[in-house]
Amino acid sequence: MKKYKICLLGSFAVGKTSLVQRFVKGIFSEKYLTTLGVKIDKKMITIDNTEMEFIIWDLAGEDEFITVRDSYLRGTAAYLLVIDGTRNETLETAISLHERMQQENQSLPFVLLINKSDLKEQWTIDATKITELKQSGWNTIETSAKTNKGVAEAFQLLASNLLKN
Amino acid sequence: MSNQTTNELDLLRNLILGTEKNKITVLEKHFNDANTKIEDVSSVLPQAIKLSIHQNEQLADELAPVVEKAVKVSVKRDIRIFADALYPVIGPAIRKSMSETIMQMLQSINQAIEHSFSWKGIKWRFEAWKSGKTFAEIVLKHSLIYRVEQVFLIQKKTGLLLQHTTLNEVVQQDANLVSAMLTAIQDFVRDSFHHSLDDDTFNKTSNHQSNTTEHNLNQISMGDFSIWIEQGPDAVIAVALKGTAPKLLRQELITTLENIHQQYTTEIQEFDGDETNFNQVNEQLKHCLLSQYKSEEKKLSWMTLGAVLGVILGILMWFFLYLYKAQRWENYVNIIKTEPGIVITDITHHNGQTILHGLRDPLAKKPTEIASANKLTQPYTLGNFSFQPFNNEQIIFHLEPYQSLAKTIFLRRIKQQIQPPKDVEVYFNKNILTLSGKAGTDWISTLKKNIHFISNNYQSNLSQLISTIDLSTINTPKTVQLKINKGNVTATGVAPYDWIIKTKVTIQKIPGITHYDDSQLRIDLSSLNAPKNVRLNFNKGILNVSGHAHNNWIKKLSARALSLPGIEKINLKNLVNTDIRLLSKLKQDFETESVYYQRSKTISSNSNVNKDLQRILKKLQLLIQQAQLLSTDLRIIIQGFSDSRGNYSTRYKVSYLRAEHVRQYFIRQGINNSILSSHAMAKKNHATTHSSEQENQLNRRVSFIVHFLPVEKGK
Repeated sequence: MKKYKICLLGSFAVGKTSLVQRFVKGIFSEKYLTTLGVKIDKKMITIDNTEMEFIIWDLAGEDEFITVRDSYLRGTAAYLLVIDGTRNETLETAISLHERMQQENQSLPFVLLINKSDLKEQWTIDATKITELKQSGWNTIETSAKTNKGVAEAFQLLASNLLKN
Repeated sequence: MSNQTTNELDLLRNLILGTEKNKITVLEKHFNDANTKIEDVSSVLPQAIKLSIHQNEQLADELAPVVEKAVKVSVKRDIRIFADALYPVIGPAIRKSMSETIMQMLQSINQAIEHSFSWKGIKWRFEAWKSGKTFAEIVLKHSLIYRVEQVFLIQKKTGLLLQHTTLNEVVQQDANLVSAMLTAIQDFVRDSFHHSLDDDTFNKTSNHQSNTTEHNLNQISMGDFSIWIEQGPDAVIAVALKGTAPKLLRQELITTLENIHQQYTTEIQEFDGDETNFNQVNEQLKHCLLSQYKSEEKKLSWMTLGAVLGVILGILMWFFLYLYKAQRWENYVNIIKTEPGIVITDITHHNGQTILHGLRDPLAKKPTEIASANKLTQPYTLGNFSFQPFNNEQIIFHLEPYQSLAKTIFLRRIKQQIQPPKDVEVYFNKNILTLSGKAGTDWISTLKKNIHFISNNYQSNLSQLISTIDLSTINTPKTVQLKINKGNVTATGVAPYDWIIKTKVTIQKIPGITHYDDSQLRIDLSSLNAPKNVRLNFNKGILNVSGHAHNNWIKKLSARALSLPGIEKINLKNLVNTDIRLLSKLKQDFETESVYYQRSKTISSNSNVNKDLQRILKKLQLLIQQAQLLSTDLRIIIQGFSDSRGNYSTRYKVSYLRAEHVRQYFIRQGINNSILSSHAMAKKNHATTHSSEQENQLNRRVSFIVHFLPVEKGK
């Protein structure tokens, strides 16, 4: 069984930690606790009878004051870009982080997670931009850590891309 | 070029290089021949392998996968070949493994027992109870210098765990998470503090693999727990340890990491997440599971020291008691041997019993008595301890009876035979049996007759015996003194009548007495309990009683005295009955009293009369009381008188009324009516009309006469 370093990247408060908690432990909490530095979890995933072990690095969200450390990104096998559907500016942060990752290694698999789908009526995300990204080859999935929508699928898709890579 | 030229060149080549060409051809043929190559390689292969192994371990590392694969193929093909090959090895290997496991277990048990029964162990158990930790944890805490519990080999780039090993007893977290988190922490520290990494915890280290200086976190500490990290170019080795590890451990980590890098550089760099490629590294990591325990100095614990001292003390005490008992036993035997009348001929031991053989005179002391007399049967004490003495049941005496001629025993025997009086002493004076003191004439004469038979060939001397009259047979009372003067015996003092009479007869029969005088001996009259004022004198059967005595004693005297032997009569002429004398006095006193009445006054209103009557009543009551004491009946005659005035009838009436007035008063005051009688005395009054007023006053009275009635028979 192979192990992979997986990073969750995105702006602050987009729900990265909640997605990991939901995916790894199956729980969700409304309480918001900002991540300091990094949290690490582990999860087994089986794709086409192939077992994989994800070492998930849940990195602290990036904003105008905090930048994701390069050292944390080193050796990443794949990553999830997480944005908050209700905050359009989080997409820009995700694209920025993606570009940083691509500078290191252009072949890294990734998936864009548009989180908080349970609040879709409040979404302000630029749908056109999303469409453009999809057309340029981005894998996107709408997720909700609260309702568990798309969470497992997102990780499964990432695992699938890893195997194909 | 023409053919001719070519031939010439060939010719020239043959001329110059012909020999070498042939050699090259041979070599080429040799080189291209596979069989020849195999032969060549086989000839140098053993030496080449030997040399390579000596130089480094690369050959072994390279061959390992090949050998493993070959083994797998062989096992798959026919497992019996391998089983047969391993058979002689597998048994000893298992035994060795089990032996090592058991040895480790024994060491653990030894350590636990060592700590369990020592004072330190008790202290640690208390600490474990107080802190809620297990005893093993506390033992480890105190006895451990350091112990490496986990070793992580981490790929530097990804933070993924390449290999991990741990002690069996250590509770571990997920090594993958720890590995990643350690990497994250290192990155965090490096990024955050790389400008000022010079404090104690985050040391600046130089990378040993590269020449470039790099700041790395090489130690994390928390209490007695710490993580030591050693960085390599592509991998990091981290160990989790307890206690304070020596610097040598870091050297060990560096060496291990260097070896791993040397062997697995490519694998580490190209690590794709499959850690099975690094399974063989695990053995190298296990070498890093080092530990060091405090070596216990084998000092004697206080408890052990106390126990040893206790044993030594016990042995010394036992030895002392043994000597002490032996000494007492020897003393006892010596005492018995020197005891007159006892001869010890042999001492034997049988079934834990001591048997003393010999002879014993029945008059000699008993052996047990000797032991008691010498306190050998009492428990003896040593400090606060008490020990049992000789157990008499363990000593058996086989002593045959015999007659001892020892002087002590002989004296006992002769005293037993002659029963000497208390004033006679029996002893040896220069081997001569001597008797001295006072003794009865009969006893002395009997002794003189028999001394020859009982002296048992000892010379005897009876000259110091003084013959005395033996009055012991007459049982002289203490109140009697007997004086002996050359056969004349005089008795003085007081003795019972019976003794006096009996002694008169028996004393005449005592040898040596020629005359007996008991004229000064008085009869013992103490049983009569005579009062102080009474004197008793017995003479010729008559008891003369004189002095003063109460009626009660006098009444009992006759019966008591006449019951005493020898008293035939009692003379009471000189004895005054004090109770009768008192009665007479009371009668006299009462009869002198009179009640005087005034003229022309009513009788009852006369105040003086009442005062007189009260006084007279008291005297009457005393009189009656005394008469009753003497069992004497009495009659009180109350006589009424009148003055000379008036006619006889009037005087008679007045006299009667006055007497009756007094009588009624007495009756009212509780005097028995039957002893009272009132009489008018007018007739007998011869007062005349010429009587003076003073005389008339004296005649207006009531006076009293007391009569004691004769005692009825039986009273």
